[in-house]
Amino acid sequence: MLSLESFGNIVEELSLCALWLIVICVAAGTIFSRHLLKSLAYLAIFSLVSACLYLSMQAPDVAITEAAIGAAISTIFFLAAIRSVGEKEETPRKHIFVALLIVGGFTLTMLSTIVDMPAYGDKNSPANTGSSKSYVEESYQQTAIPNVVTSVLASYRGFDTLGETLVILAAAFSVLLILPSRKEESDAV
Amino acid sequence: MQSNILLRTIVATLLPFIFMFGWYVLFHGKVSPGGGFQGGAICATALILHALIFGPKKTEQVFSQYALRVIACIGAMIYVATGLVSVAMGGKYLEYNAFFQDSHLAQFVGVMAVEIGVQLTVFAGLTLIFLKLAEQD
Repeated sequence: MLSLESFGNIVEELSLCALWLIVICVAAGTIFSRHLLKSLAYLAIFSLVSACLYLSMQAPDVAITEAAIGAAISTIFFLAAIRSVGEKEETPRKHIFVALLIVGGFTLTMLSTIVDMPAYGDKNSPANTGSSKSYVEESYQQTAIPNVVTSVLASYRGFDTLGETLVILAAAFSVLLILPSRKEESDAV
Repeated sequence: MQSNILLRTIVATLLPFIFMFGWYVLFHGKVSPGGGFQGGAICATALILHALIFGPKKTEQVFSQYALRVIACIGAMIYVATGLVSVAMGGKYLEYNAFFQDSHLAQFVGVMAVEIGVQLTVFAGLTLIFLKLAEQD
């Protein structure tokens, strides 16, 4: 007799497997599609499903970022870029076997490290026994901020967030510098 | 896309709510998931949505590229200034506990100031990139 709880667990596992399968298929679609708009649509779906997966790993902060930046804003940026580049991928694909060899070798190398990885959610893994333990235990007493992610990002790791902010600023200004402005074009004409 | 009345009506109705949600994500980021980066991104999506539906020129009548550049810089400056103030008050750079005797209040003020800076920079920066890309034809 199947209990309701174990039935729920099975459904959860199956839906997670389905999400991972979708992510892999969509990633393959992004690479193999020759039409840039289709690739872009696959990429947006990839980000959206990834956001769901992050949520399933109890990382809602990352999920929000992925949904806003990955699925929405970067898709729109690519869309704006494709409009000026054209929809078809024009360069022919050469040296496909060399590329496959390199990518295959790299994949095998990465896969070989899986054996040494700690189990998912292992409380004795280095990630869970290092400094993150003291953050989880002490951050509320020290900062009175319930969300550990916020207190780590803005308080304990304030320097890193400062760097992140400056990177965004630098990215925006590099785009402004690289792309020609409307005024210059009208002057040239 | 600019003549579709359905899109125009829906977007005009939704825009203030998306914008407000961006600021909610910022100010509620201490308790719920979110923060300056996510809030700024959501606010930027609201403005980009406006530019997509009504055209970038209409958007630039509200937020000109110059204004967005200023906002982006102000955001980064708020962040840097928070650190400088904490140095001036006798702490290390970005050591919020130097602000007040009460360390919880000091942490609150420091984190909030920093997050608002991040929000402004991310919002203005991402919108700027889109507006710049959109005027390339």
